[in-house]
Amino acid sequence: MTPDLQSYVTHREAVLDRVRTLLVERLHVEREPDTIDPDTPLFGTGLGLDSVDAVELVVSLEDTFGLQLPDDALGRRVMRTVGKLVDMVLSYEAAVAAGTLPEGFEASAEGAGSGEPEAVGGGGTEGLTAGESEGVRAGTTNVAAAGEPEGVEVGNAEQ
Amino acid sequence: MGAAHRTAAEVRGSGRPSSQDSRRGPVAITGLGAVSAVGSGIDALWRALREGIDGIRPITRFSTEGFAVHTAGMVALDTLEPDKKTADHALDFALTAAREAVLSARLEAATVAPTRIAIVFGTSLATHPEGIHRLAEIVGDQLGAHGPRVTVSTACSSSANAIGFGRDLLLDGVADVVIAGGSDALTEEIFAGFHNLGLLTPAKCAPFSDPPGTTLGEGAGFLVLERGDDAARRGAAPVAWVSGYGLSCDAYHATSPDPTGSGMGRAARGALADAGLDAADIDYVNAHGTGTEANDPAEWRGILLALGERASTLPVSSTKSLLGHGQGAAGVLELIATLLAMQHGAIPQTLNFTRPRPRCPEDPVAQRTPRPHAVAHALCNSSAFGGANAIVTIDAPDRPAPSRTVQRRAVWLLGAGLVLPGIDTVAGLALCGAPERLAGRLPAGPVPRSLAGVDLRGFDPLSRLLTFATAEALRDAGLSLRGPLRDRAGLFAALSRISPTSAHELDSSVKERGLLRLSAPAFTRVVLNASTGACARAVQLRGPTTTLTTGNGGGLVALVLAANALAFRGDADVMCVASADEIDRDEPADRLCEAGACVVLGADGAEPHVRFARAAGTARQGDAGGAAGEARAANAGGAFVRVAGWGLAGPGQAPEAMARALAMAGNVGERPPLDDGGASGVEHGGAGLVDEGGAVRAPAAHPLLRTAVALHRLRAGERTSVLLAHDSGSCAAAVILECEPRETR
Repeated sequence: MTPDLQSYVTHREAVLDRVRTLLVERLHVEREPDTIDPDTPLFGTGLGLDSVDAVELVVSLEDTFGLQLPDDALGRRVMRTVGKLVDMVLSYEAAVAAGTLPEGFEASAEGAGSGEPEAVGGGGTEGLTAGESEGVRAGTTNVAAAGEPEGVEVGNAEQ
Repeated sequence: MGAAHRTAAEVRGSGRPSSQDSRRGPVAITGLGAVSAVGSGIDALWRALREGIDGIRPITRFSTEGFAVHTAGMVALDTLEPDKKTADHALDFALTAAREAVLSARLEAATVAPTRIAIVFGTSLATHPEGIHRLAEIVGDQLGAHGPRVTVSTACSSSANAIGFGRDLLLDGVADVVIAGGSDALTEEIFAGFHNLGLLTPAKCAPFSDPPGTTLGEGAGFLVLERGDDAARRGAAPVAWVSGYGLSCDAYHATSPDPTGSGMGRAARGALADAGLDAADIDYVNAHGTGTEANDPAEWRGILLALGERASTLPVSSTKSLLGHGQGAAGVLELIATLLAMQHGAIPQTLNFTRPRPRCPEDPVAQRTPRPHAVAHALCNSSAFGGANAIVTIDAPDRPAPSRTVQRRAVWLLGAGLVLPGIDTVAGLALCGAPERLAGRLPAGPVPRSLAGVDLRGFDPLSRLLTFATAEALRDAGLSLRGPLRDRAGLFAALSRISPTSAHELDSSVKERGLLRLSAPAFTRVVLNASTGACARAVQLRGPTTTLTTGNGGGLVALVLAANALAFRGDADVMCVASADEIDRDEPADRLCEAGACVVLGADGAEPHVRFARAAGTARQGDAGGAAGEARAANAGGAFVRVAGWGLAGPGQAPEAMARALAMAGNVGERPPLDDGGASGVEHGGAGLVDEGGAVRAPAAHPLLRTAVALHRLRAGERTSVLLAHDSGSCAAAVILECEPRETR
């Protein structure tokens, strides 16, 4: 294994551990962190997260990794599994290091530059039309659109 | 049907005195009061409705900077009487609306004893330093209403549920006048919570239309309710009638409605059956209609399930387009809007309608002003976080639904479950006042880590205590809820506060991350009924549900209401009654005790698939169609315990509650004196559960812990009957348990 690969693997493991810890501590997943397989689906029959948790997941990822995510960042691609979240974090970090942002993060470019965490919740939503704003927080629209199996509720509550 | 399968009612036979029957029918609404985004007073509400001018405005009371939404239906505080204002908006709204209701009913001129005036107060997220039950107590004190004060907190269906219970208190003779309704104020935390859940639209709430999303609101509404003959006697003309109500639990998700609409459908069918009305009698549905993507289609499906073909031509509109979503006050405010329109020969409109959304009502009454249309009977829908649905039927003044006599069904105490973490079983039993010899009969111990087949992720400690106690009580009762029995099994919870763990989680997320990033999952758990909803979901109790508080120790009040529901209503055969205490991390664990307690009541089914016939001292859940599952011996080796009588009364009136319970039990008086193990015969409190200073160690669960111990003593043959009484400070309650006579066993 080359030193570069070795360091990538080590870093990836570290990010995975932090994602697992976040899932246990912030999302209350009832497992030991190291028993959460990267291939575990986040929603439905996997970890059982739902759309309300998706909101918290976005905020937690931003807090933990210093990310600035656009509201639609966690699309179906990223929200599938634990490993996909790790991929997303790594590609975001790599892009930031290279001075660019990967595909899918463009919307947050301004927010990322501002250094204001609130810019994500606020700034990221400004460009949305009224019709899109239902998904204003967090990937709820995307989760529903991904057609996840049972257990994934649409983000709207009824109260 | 063999003897073993005879129902308890058949066994006990026709010898029940006629006092066991109950007259069920409409109760008169004789007074109205409202405070809302369109102004203070009923006239302001009617003017806004008539002219189609909504109360949704930019929020000025707090900053919405950074949020994507800036509007709500806020009460203009300067419309409240200045001398009546306190710092507590929800209380101010309530006092203003309740006073208006009492004035419009001309109650001062009536000669009703203060102890015969009850308050049923619905509120969702109101707060008070001493607990939200204080709002009802303060309103009661100020208005001179000293009957029972019951606070219902089922989030956004609170006030609709409160109106239903208010009717029950009248029909059951607990009160002669009931002031029922609710109040809630919008805070920036509530606004941020809904915003972060993605539920708000930046435009105005446009139910059944685009764009989806709701607009929050606030306010208060109260009704004065009386029995029709009382109102007639004092010359008070009914504004309308409350003829029935239905409750149900989705048991589906913390915040999303069951998309099949089955919960809404059950509540609507329950309400129709209670009112003695058919789908064809309904002229209009005032929908919950929040405007969110999830609510509107689910609610429409529920209406279709309950009303069938009638729904396709039925006007269904939502008053949230006028007032915003008034949270706990929404149900009563929208009901008032409905009957104001009815008084004027019209039905309320849905404002802000742009273009129809799929799977929504065919006729949303999308127009600027009310539609001229005579309404004799209307349904008023509410649903809520925790899956709590409440639907009320109202009738035009000249078209009250028919009254009828309902024979009281026998109610059995089938099982009990305790959870006492942090102390070992024997010590836990001692705390409950149970002798050690009962160990082995009484389940008590630490909270299990898991429940078979249930994902407990997101269950806070309070939800776990409630859930495990309930699961244990069902196990103790020998009931496995399957198939249709789930729809006829309900959960009434009495709690004193939300989970301290969830409260801290929300608070710290706000402190550390700001309102814009507050924890959405924690926000969903800070309504009082969140743990009730979680428990119902885990155990699959989909029948009638409520969450009430009387401060501490509302368990007996909940038990009385549940027994009443079984005895006189047709929509449940099993009712779980549960309470729990979670200790705050800052509270002294040596003086407080974490506890969960649940008792299971059952009534011989109106439907053939549920029977609790006695057979050799066992509960038998017999079954004609195989739907209800296999019966198991529940009270094996013990007596079969009946809830023989129950009563409620105002604070400080435990003797009245006991007298009512004794009168209801009837034949208890013919028996030997109550067997209480040599004491007074009244189970006030167990020594172990009350510390030297007189403080109760598990304050919320206390009455149900006592009930559980009483059940086991009765089963063990130590007693033949027990009178349990508790005065919570808001409401006194009494329950009589008695063993079936040995000779008939």
